Amino acid sequence: MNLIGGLDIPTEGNIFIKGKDISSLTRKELTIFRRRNIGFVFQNYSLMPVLNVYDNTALPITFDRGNHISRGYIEELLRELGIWDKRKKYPNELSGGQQQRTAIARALANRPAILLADEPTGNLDSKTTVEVIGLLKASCRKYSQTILMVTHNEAIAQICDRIIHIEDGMISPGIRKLSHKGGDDRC
Amino acid sequence: MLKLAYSYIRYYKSQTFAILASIILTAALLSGISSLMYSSRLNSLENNKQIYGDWHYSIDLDADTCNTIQIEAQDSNYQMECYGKKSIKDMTAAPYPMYFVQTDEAYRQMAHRQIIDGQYPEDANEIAADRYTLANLSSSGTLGEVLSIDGQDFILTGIVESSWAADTDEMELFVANSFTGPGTRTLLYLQFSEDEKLYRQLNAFLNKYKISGDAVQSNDEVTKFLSGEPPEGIYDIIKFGLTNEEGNFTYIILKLQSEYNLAFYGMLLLLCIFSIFIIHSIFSISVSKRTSEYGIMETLGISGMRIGGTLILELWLLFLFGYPSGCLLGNGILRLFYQQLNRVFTVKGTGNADIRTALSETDRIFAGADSGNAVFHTAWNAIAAGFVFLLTALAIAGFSTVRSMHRQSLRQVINGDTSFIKRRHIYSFRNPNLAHVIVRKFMFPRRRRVIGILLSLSLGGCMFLCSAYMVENLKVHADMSLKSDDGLGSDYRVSIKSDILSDTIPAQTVTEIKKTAELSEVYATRYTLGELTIQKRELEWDKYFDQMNKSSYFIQRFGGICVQKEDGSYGIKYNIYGYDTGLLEQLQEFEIAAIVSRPLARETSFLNADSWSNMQSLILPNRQMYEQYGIYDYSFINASAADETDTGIAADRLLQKIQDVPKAVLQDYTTAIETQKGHLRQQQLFFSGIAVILLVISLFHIMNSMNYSILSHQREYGIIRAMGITDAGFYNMVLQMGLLYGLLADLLIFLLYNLFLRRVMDYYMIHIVQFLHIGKTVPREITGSVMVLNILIAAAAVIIPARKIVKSQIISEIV
Repeated sequence: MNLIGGLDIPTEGNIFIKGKDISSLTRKELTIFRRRNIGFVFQNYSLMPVLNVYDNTALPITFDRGNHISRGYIEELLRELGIWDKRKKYPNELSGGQQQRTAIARALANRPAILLADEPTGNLDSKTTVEVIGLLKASCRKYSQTILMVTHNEAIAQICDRIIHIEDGMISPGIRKLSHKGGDDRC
Repeated sequence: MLKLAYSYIRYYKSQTFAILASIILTAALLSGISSLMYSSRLNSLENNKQIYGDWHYSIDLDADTCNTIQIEAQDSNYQMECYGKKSIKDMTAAPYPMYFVQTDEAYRQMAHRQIIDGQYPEDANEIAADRYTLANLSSSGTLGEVLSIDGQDFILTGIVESSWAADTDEMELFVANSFTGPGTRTLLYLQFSEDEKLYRQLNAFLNKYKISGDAVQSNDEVTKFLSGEPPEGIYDIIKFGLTNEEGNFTYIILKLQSEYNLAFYGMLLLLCIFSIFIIHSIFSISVSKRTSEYGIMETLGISGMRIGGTLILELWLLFLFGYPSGCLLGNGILRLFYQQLNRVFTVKGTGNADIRTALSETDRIFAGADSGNAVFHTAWNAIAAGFVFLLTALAIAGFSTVRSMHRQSLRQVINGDTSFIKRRHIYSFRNPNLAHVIVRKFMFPRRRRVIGILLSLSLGGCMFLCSAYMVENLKVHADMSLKSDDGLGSDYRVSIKSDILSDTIPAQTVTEIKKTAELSEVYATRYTLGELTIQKRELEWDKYFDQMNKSSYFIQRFGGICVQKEDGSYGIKYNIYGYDTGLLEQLQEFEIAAIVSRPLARETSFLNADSWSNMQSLILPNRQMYEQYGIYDYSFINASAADETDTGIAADRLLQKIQDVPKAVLQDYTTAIETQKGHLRQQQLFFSGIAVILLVISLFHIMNSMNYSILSHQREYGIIRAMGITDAGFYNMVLQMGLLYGLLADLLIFLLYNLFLRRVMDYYMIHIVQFLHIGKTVPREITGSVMVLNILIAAAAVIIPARKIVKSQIISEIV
């Protein structure tokens, strides 16, 4: 995940995203590429504690100079995720589910091609887990994005279109399969 | 608790180092300066004992009382170390005022007037004298030589150790007890134990022998260091200063200085406060890092008291190690360099008594040796006081931190700072770059805390500017003092050793001196005494002159310095100086000082009267002295050696010119000027050094707080980087904040210094240390450098941790 997200640099091999070998990019190019193409959702939400929900969501957009925040899009995102009413609340005033929704909103704010979700429901209760996974699924369809999610929860995995099992750091070819629910391996 | 405190010390290594370094540096500064001041004080005392005599009080008794009195050295209320007697047998006025005195061995020892060659006179026609007196009697100083004094022949049997400048106006001829003269006065010189208060011992002595206190004269220059007089209560001093018409703030300060050595204790207190400020500041940063940990500890049931105890123990452990190390460092360095710094806190500044007027060559060599033998003393009392003060203050600091934690709920403590919740703005509406908002929020969390940080950031700069301001004006003051007090900064001064106004230096001699190639800047001054009439209503403080009016010189000639006339008005004596063109030109730079403070080239020894110093003066061109008063000859001459001329040769040439002028004496200031310049260099070096150390401590503190401010939010910065901020963008973001801190600190320094501190310094320099001139400001280059340095340090302070963050893996920071 870290390698795909450009957070880590591969020691060997290549990573191609949108036809571009990201392992050959410079630090700066990689950062900009990540900013424009990849959204992150972490298990521990990784929200900025000093920013409210709205600003947390808008944060990545402001890194691109001259890129104006589309207030309408952010409102739409927050309404879609059910946290519009909480837009002026700070992370420590939110429940785990609300924080994770904010993190998803932030990840979607730049309309990235890929959404990397690292155990997005690891800290959530079962009800909220269902809600969050539902939201991820819905947003990926709505905004035509690829979601790459890591989970230990088999039930959640079953909702995905494609599952890759990793055991002891190795992809297990035997149980690599397409989801029985979806017909293809792309959203 | 001890184990936990120790674990914290080991775990938070950088914080521990920061606190320890601050403790060591401040302890070094505190103990070093204390020891330096203490050593200077003790050395000044020793020096003054050399100059003014190693005795505390003299009692003027008639000969009969003195002979009958049986002094007991030991008493339950006093302890006499030594006492001696000096009887004034006779005096002669020609060719100079000289006293025939009979002394005992104890007196000679205390007054440093021992026989250095030959023996003390035993017969009535024998005398002993010092070389200076003998030189004035045109004697070669050979033992057995017959000297004719006032028509009587005496055999020289001994050479007496020369007295110091303070006494050279009174030349003494030592005679035997069998010498008969009209004098009946005997002075009893007492030296008490210095372990007890002197004034108490004196009172007990006076009570025991039923002697009136009026007969007592204190050796002020020595006893002022040793509680020679009962100190006035602090409350009474402050009350008088605030409530009495004649009292004011300056009175309080000066009185506290003279009675309680305010400068020393004030300096100690200021350094202690500075130390506490820095240590507390660094400590609170360290504690705020682990506030949530303490919250968890409380949740687990550990009492606040125990947490407070752990905090204090942690501080104390560092203090117990750091304080002695700092003291060792400060005292060790100063002990090494003490010979180069021993005159920094010398009690006398650039006053007249510092210049050894009219000393013989032997004296001058001896005088030069005194500062070289200065001994370094460790101020154990101050070190102990500093230890107790800081130990207590650190405990208070620890408890105040715990108290501030207790004001918050446990949940708040665990969550850390949540003050930003109060503001419900959506920043992205107005700010195109939220990264700056985040950094601003991290670095400026609470107004009070920000002000605290900025204050501590500007403290070092302010102190540096104050020291620089003081040093700049000290230079001017020292230069002007030399000029105004000590012969215009000239190498030589010729004056007339007489109290008769008609004794003068002929104009012809002055003309010849001016033509001498080895001499330059020859300024001759005419002098006379005038009387100013003022109306009774104009003299607001009619008792002001009471003490000065007792001067025998003025009583004999004019009835006093300020005498009331029949019509009720007052006649006040004043100096009238006639300056030549060169001197008048030099006077221009003294415009203010000459009017309000003191005249240029004042003449204190001319009238041979102690009270006649710093009196009113009128300065006229030399021409007017001739036209208005008919004064054509001169009273004193200032001259310097011409460029590249050996000072010894120049002095010889001057001596040749004045050898025929009766009572003319030459005073050589060359050594004194060099010494004075050396002292000034020492003071400049010391104060600049201290200022730099304070600046370094302050800068160290800036680095520490900034470093913490950045690194404590490492995870959040990791998130921002994961969200896609470039390295350059990240540097730019933190750099802007660093520069903002630096600029705000500069602004604060500017405001604090110009609006407050400079005024305090002005007050201090005008009223307390009484500088002649305070027109000098800190050079713009220095002010600019401090400002730029502050900004650079602030920038470096954020860039260093930012670089550390950038170098680390983003993912390791987030997870």
